[in-house]
Amino acid sequence: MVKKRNAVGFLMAMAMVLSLFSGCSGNNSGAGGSSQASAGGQNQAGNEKVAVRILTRYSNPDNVREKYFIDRVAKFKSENPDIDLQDISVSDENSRDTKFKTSVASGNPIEVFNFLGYAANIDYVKNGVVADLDPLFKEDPEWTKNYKKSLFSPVDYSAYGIEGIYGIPTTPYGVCTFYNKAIFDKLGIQIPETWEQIEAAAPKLIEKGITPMAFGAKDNYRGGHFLTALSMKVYGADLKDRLISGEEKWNGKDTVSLISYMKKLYDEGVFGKNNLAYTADGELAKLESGEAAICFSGSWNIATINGFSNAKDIVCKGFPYFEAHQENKDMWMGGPDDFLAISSKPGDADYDATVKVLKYFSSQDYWQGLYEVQKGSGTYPVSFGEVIPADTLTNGFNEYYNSAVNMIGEIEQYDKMAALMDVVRTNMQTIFSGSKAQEIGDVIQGEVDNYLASNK
Amino acid sequence: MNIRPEGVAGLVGNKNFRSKMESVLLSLPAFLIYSFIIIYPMVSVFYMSFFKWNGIPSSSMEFTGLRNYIAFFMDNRFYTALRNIGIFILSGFLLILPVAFFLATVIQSKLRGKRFLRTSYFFPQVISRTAIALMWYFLLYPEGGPVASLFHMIGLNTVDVNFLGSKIWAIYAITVINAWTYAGFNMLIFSAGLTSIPEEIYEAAVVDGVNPLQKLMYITVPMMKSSFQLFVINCVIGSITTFEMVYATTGGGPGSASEVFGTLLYKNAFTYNNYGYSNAIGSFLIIASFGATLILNFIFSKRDRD
Repeated sequence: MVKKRNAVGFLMAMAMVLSLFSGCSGNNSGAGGSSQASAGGQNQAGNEKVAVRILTRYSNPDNVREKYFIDRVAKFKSENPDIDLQDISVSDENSRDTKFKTSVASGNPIEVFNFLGYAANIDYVKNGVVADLDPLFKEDPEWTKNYKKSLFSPVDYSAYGIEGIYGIPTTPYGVCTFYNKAIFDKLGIQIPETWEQIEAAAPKLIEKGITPMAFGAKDNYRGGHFLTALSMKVYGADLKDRLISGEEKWNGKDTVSLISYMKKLYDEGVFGKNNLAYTADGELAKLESGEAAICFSGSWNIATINGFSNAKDIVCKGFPYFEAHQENKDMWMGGPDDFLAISSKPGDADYDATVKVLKYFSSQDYWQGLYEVQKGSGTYPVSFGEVIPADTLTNGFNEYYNSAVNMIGEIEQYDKMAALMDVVRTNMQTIFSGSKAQEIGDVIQGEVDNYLASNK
Repeated sequence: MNIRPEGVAGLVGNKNFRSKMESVLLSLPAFLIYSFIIIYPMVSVFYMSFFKWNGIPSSSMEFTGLRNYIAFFMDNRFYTALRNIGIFILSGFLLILPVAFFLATVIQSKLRGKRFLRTSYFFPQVISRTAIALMWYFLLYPEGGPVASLFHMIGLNTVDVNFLGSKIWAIYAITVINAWTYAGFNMLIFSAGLTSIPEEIYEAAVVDGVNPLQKLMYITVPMMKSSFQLFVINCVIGSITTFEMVYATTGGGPGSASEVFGTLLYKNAFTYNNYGYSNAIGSFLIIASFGATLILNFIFSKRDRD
């Protein structure tokens, strides 16, 4: 009896081990299958759906532009039952980056995604993560015929010896400034367009308990945008070129003088208090409520501001310039940003479906729909046959935008050091927690030096 | 060496051998699963830490030896993170331990409604860390937030109340949030310890005229040694590997003021594309946690022997 029990126990143990192994092998094929499916969908059976994931920064239904995208995803799904379009978009930039990078590192890159282009992302192009769209453009010239050609430059890597075009522009923008005109009218102050005028008006606004210029530094990109916009008004594109070539250091005289000026504005109370407690959305809320008189922002917010209860009180102008640097008045931070790109290559099982998704979300019809939803406001990568009379804010923006003589993206985007953007933004944030300009410059340059040393 | 067939049959027929084989075979699945989900990733982390890699599978991995480790130990943020971990551990002893112990005594007392209290105290443990961070963000909001209003009410108008946005105060504010979150969990550990102390000992002590403080010092605390040991190990390891609370509240900022090893690891991988460097941080975390556990266990066992 005991012998029999022992034998049964032994057999059970053997069975358990064997079932584990067979389970593993079953899982292997299963995992492979699911990986293939999620990698864009092996269309194994003729009637099986092809899965295509799309990752953008449009997931907030309260934002006009993002809501439009969400609606179009639903429309695409109903019109294309053979494609399982999985919208994994997320508005937060860091979360979007993490999703994308995780998918790449795990060898299963998202099929359609928003790509930031520029030198900072060259590794993705060089290593074949991002597909060359040029053959598709040539194959279907109708698709891109209304696109503004200059917007493609950040995804054209021919200067680095890489041929092809690696994205299609979606969000041309310009950094601009919104003013709550009612506040200035009430105080009898003319709307300031230069930094000298802003500094002169600031004490009067502060005295009335109004923040002259809202600055939601909790979003670290605000500091990065401000630095670039300011550099354009003082040095034009020259400082950017010198920083990227290494001729100017981040703790060099010219760069530190810009950071010092920002610090001076903060110390004078121009940006108000508790900037690290609120975000870019908070800036808009303060502008609408009248807590702040000015908000430096961008064209991407025009449609949102048009929805303000006091939208008629808001006016849009260019980023303030310096009376002492009139020659740089029309130098802008702006241009193309956020490109739609794909990872699938010809021959991949999901290639046709991926291209279909890409074309759908970058078609003239897509932009026309957005143009109508936004009632002509905002900026678009394409030109339209029939122009919708735009709102006052868009007209105000365009008046300045069209006069731009040079436009650059954020300085760090032009550097191959992928971490530089976060390093600069994070350290610019510390202005609002008491760091000195030279300290900030030193920390950034230290990081750049470390990068250069490890990439010799 | 040739094994004769009758030898193998004899071995299989051997009761002792069969019993051993059963043990091995029964524990093999658990060992394989453990190896697959714990050992393999750990080995992989160590292996990758000796390379420079940008996270793109098709790009080449460059062997760099110990360079990632050297760079990490020379980075100022390593020392900032080390200091912040120290503050976390200290706050565990100064905040979580007394609060959790007090709460444990409350739920072990004869109070009415202690079941409700136990659930309430434990509640933060089941809330998502992101939700906790958001809740505290509003509590600590410097313009009209409850904490700021309280400060102003008691006349501390001059105090900079932007705790999470302050290079000095951010890490302390996070430790308070952390204490609020984990006090309930540690309360359960202490509560279990309290339950294990026989009531007769307290009754005998009362007969001997022992006062409440003496009861605490000479009966409760010594008899709860294993609970305190568990708390210490949890506190130290939890502090070394802390991530989500810091990331959800300050993201390691402002600047790098509230950076911990977890946030450095995350940023290096997913923001800076330095996967090799990030794996070096991961390896350091594994070694530090393992080392801390060994040292603490050694100290506790030595004390037990003494």
